[in-house]
Amino acid sequence: MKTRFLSLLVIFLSLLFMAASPLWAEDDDKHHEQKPFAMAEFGQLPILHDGRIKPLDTFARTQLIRFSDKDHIEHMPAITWLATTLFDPGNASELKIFRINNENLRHLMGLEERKKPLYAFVEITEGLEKTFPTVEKLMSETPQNISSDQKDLLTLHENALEYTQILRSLSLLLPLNVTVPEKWAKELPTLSTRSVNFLTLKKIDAGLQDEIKQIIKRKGQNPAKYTPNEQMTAVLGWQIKMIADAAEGNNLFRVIPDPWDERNTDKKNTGQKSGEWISPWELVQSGKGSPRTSEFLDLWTALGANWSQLDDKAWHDNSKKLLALGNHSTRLEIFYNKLQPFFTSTIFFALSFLLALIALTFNQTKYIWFLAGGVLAIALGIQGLGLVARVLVLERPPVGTLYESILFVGFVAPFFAALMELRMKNMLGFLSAGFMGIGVGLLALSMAGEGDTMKVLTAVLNTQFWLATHVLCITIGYGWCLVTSVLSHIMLLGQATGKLDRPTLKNLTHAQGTLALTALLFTATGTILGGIWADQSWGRFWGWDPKENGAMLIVLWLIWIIHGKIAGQFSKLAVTMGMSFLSVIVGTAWIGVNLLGIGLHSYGFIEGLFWGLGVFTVGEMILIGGLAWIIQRKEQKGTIPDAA
Amino acid sequence: MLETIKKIATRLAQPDILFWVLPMMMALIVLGTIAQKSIGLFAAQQEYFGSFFLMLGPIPIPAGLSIMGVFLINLLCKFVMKSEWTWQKSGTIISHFGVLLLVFGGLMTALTSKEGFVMIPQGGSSTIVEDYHARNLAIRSETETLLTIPHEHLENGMTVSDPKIPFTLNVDKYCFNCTITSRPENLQQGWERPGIFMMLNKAPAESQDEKNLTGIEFSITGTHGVDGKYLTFDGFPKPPTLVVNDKPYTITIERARRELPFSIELKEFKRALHPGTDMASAFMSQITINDKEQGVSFPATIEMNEPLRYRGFTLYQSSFDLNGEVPYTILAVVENKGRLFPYIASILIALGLIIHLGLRIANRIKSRTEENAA
Repeated sequence: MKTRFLSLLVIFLSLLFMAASPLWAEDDDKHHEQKPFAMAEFGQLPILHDGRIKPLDTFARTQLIRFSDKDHIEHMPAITWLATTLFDPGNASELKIFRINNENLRHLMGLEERKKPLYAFVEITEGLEKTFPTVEKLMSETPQNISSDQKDLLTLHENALEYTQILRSLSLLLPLNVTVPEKWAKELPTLSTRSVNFLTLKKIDAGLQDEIKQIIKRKGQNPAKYTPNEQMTAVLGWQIKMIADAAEGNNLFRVIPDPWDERNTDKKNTGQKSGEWISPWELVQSGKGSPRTSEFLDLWTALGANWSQLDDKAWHDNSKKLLALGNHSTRLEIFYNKLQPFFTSTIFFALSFLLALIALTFNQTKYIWFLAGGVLAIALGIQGLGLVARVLVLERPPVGTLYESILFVGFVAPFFAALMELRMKNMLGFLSAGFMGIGVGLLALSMAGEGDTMKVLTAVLNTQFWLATHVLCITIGYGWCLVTSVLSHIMLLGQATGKLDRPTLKNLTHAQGTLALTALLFTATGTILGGIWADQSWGRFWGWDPKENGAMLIVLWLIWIIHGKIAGQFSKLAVTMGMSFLSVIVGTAWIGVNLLGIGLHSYGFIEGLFWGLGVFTVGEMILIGGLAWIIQRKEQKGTIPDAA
Repeated sequence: MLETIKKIATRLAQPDILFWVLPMMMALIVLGTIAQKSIGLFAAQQEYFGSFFLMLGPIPIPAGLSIMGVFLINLLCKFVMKSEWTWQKSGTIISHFGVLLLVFGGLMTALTSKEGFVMIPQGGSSTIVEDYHARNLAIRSETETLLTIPHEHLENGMTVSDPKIPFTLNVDKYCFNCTITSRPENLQQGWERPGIFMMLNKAPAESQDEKNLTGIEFSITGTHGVDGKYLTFDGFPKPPTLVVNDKPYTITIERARRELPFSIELKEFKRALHPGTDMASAFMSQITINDKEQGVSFPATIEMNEPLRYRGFTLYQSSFDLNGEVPYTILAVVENKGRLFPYIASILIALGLIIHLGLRIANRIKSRTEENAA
């Protein structure tokens, strides 16, 4: 029902937007070629979005990623795109930002084929209108009965609705290309110094509507009977009404603290904990104004004027004033956005991996060891910095979502491998750390496409204690498991290729045992702590929820291999194979069970992840099986060192 | 005799049993987890983990209880018969004891725990705990319950008669999960309200047990006045009430109920939202416990992750309903005598593993030092 309403709204707003576009003052195409505006302060301006205060820069990036899969359009950064969309909606609607990868959907929308399937809002409005009856029918379908093509169509409609909201967020402040009858113009004192916008016209709206009623009473509904002045009055009244109607419910752009929310006026509340913020349209339509909100509106109006006049200096000054007025520091998040820590660290992890590989290939371990270690330390430093930044911004422990668990494992697993290297000093620890840094980093990057990755948590997860104990413990356990698995892979590879000498293999075998026990300690403790959390929250220690079962699977797998080794039921090769396969067990328990779409830890089915995990599992089976086969052949020929 | 027992116990302590039990346990967990997708959590729990055997097509395979039973016996025998009571093995012994406690606690929980929920309107109070899963056909006269029949015993054609009730009830249609549709005009003959206008249809069971709408269509005979066809279903706000000999008899399908030894009064239900969203960041119930038996009355606050424990009952903030005129809070009520076991077990397991790891690392350092010295 909600989606049906949204779809109806998007069509309505799209049409209204198209109809209302000529109302805004012409701005030529000069912004496409203009000198770049200083966006530093503008990007820092706070906005309440998805339950938290964030900088406009983050808002712009996540919205643009939502529409186009990228955080920039050609050479235009997201924040400039947002400014254009807010202050120059006419030209912005011609920017090609809607990525439509689905060929069938492009055909359905009547769009031309392009090298890059990006389309402007003005290009898709006709298609939106045309596909509306289909969307309406889809509303009554259950999600299981909706095909992927239909799902893409629904997503496009929802994106278009969101975009329309942004496009019209400041339409009440932008200069309008309207003619004001002389009688009413006199009542607008600012007319000589500022262009007319909806806000100024609102002051005469009541009188204007009264006069229109009088005209209709006297002369009826047919405008042909009106005098030119009366026609002008009627047109102006219709224009004001149309702009107001189109902005009904426009509450996405929450950049003004709600003056009636005590949390915003409490002077002791200086932290990021915020009350409600409202959008300019909400403010005007709800009549919640105060002297402070007027300041906000004036500054936003001034920014609009600065943008259209290409006044960079005034733009910069007004952005600063607005930033001071908002009184919310978002600098750390801006730094985080600019650093892109998890992308940057992945590059450094890759570099350290390459250095370790070169060193092992050419037996040059002496100097490159320090170099690879240094690069790895930088990678870990950046990854750690990213995690700390998230902790400070979100004011909670680092792991609360699946994505965050990947980031955290991306730090702890290479860190543990680096610790291992400090003991072994044979470059294999750096190799493992680099490899895991790349693998987990790429997984994190593939999941970052969802938009804003800093999410607020549901009530049950909103607990500092359990996030800091159970969640960290189990994710550290995942990290140790990965280190154990990667080390076991290296042992298999080394034995199969004959590159590992006997003392190294002995060292690695012992390290493998210690790592497996450490992994067991953390996964077992983490799993039981999870049970205790469940006991505290839901009243049962164990509920056979898929995620609980996944965690137990890891613990049982480790117990099986460790006890099989102790009791002599597994050969050394079988133990190494089992420990190598831990990667698949962890992948299934950590990410795979969420794909079932059931239980308390469900994140929904993600097709890419499903196939990725499938390919990974099959690949691991072939790799581990293949290496074991080679080793066994070598053992039979007696050309392999014994690790005992 | 003792020798035989010792022999058996020694055999049962062998590690090969664990070696085969663990993969079976893992396979069962994988199968039981995947099965949740199609049959739901509750059914999967019962079928895979809460029973001794499970039919995989025509083949019976051991299910959770038998596998856990073998595991427990193996571990117990190993612990008693084969533990090396040395400092070097202390970590292993402590961990194994922790696992034993955990499994024993699990067993105790499975045998003794009772779960349910209590729904209280703001300003109101309740002593009634309803079961999440068990449903009953209940016949009541005002507040007195005359007869209850568990829904598993209901079937088409079943006749219900009892000296306490002055009529005979014949179950014409029973559906564990029903859909409700309007009754066609040509089929309305003999039906009393509201069955004239609505009919129950059998539907496949929902994978989430709580979503199943259990109901019956039934005929009443022997009343000389209110004989006819009726229907009732779980959560029906106006179940049929028959007045026989000036006495009302209400026929309902309802969740199995039990009474708390104290009442819970809801003073206020509060929900906090993340600003600008409909997403709850916290919710809490401010309640008063009135315990006449103990002569105690005290206020308390229950919120997510912060339950209230009183007289062996634990009350959790489970859900809420804001659709009515007043908000309702839904509190989960759990009685679990094995509650403390996991807490102690987790400490022991972690402690044991830490000791074991520490000794292993210490031994390694020692042997390295000796190697270097040599």
